[in-house]
Amino acid sequence: MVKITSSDNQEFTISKEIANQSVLIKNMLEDVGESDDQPIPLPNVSGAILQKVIEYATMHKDDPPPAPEDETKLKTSEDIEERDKEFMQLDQGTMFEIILAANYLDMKNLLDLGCKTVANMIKGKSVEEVRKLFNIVNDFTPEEEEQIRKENEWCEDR
Amino acid sequence: MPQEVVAQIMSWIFPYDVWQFRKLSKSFNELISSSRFAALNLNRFAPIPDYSVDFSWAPTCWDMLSFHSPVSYQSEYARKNLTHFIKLIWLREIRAEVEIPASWFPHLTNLERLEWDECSLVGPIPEEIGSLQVFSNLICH
Repeated sequence: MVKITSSDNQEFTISKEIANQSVLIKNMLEDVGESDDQPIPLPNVSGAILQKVIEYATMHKDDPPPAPEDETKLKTSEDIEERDKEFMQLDQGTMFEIILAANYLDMKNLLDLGCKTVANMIKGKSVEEVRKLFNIVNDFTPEEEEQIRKENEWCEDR
Repeated sequence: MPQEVVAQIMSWIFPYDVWQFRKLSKSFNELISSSRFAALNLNRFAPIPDYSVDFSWAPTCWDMLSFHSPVSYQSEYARKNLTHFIKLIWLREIRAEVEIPASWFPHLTNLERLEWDECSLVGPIPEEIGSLQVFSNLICH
């Protein structure tokens, strides 16, 4: 078993196969060796988010390793497993925190899942709608905006 | 959100569609215009070419899309999908009035023969063509 602690000092005890889904933790375990039973501190992840991440890792602990041909197969943001879709039914703040945690913990599958989910929210929306959705501030001067509009003209008129 | 993660998210949106999001803000514009992003985005979507086929008799829809792409996408696309070609013989294939994609040419390192006869290309013939090792034929009307 492996012990990890969150930024707000919550301690979790997880099995090695779950811990190893995070490349960051896996590497740390290899560095410290088996004997050390000190908890691994994860100062970038809160307890609430770590709980969700562990839930995801537990759900996927029995997944077969990806087949080599899957690497060359083209993937789209649409192919998300049903159970993963359900897992990502979260408020936007939590979703972003999970993506950041997946990035920090180096969990490729969870990072891809989070990124695909957000990409699917953006698809089909107008620039103005996306700005509103994610509180993005338009910091262009009118001249710069006009310049980009010109450069993009061909793809908007299609 | 770190740029790297934003890049991961945006890379799941189809090239055509993602370009309009350059208008979101300065940082999005910078990100989506970068070569690293072009490579990431094309990696998700563009097919992996059959490297054993070294001539092309007709452009694929991805070749055509590349004609219309931002420069960063043109070079990344050429680097991955066009470098292995010895011959590009596209007769009467290019209908839309498009510019010759100059940023392809530094990557067409195996190209010996380029024939784009009766194609409606516009604009100057890029200087980069001169850097081709062996170059014989470009006919445009």
